[in-house]
Amino acid sequence: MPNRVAAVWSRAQRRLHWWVAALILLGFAIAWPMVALPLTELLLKFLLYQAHKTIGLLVLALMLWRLLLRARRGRPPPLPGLPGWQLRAAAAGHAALYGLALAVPVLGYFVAATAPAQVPTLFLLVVNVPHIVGPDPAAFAALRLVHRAAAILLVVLAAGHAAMALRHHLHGRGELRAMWRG
Amino acid sequence: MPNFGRGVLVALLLLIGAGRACAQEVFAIDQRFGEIDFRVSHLGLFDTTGHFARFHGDLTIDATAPEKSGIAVEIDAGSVEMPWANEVDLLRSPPYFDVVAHPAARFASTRIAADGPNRFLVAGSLDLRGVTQPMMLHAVLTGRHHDAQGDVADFIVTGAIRRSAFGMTTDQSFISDRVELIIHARVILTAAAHAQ
Repeated sequence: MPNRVAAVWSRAQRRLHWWVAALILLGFAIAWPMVALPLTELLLKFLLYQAHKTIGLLVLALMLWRLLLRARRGRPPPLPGLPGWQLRAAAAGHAALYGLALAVPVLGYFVAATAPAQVPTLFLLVVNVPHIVGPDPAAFAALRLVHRAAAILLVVLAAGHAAMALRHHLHGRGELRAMWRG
Repeated sequence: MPNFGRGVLVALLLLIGAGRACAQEVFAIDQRFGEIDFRVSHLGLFDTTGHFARFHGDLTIDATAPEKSGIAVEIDAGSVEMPWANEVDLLRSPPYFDVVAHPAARFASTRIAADGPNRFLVAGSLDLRGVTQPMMLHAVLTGRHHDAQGDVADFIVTGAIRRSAFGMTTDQSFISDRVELIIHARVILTAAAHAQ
């Protein structure tokens, strides 16, 4: 990714950051009851799955938008005065967050497509998103594990990212405020 | 017992070869080439299809007593199949087919009427989950040919029921009450092995 240096994050970049964060947390929170619900609660189970799939597709679209904006507008310079290892750790952490935020929805799409129960993916409950592959129980079982593990890793990394932001904030640095208000 | 309209009897006699059908003959429905599919709708958004793997049935034609002619089919309710094992367990459970209490579903025709060339209306009754309700099926003869079993005739039979009429009232918010049936049936016309 080109690291063009901008003065600040643009308003669109800041808003997209928070929208993606909120959607990831919501999608993650929905996932557990959605899987645990018995088939006797079919309607609710179906609606939770479709909400989860819609959120995943939104995250994917917004992440692609973020990548585009980042390539065009760049990012502010890293925090001054941080030791090199912290800068490298931050860069690796951010790259992993971008990668996982893209990979988890893509993996989720393939989980849905290979699932033995052929339930369509209905974006916002109305737009049928075609499945480019069919049911495949072996692939489904593997993809499901990877999707879940990657999602857990994403949320753990995002929590670490939030903890770092909070730590800088408590040390009097302005990044968290700047990301929120510009 | 079921009875045919006279026109239908003539059509069916022509189908099997009038010379042979001088008394009651029973023709097996060959399930190896048949399929009983059912389809429900979910919120009008998409459909789910399942089918029964095991069933057997007979087409009885009695030239001398047309009222003794008809179709009888018995379906092994426990042989219900869906793409996902959890769905199969759900459909076998008491709120659905309740296969422990009601292992078989049965259809018996009460009257068969012609509905155009190669088309038949089959009125009858369906016994499902211990409840018997009238049912109308539309049968279309799609082809005849000679193969290893002898002379065979292929039919596509369609119809619909309201599952609530049979006491299957669960989960109506997500699974439509109307259940469509699509049956592919092959009747073995070579009566030698099946004649009574």
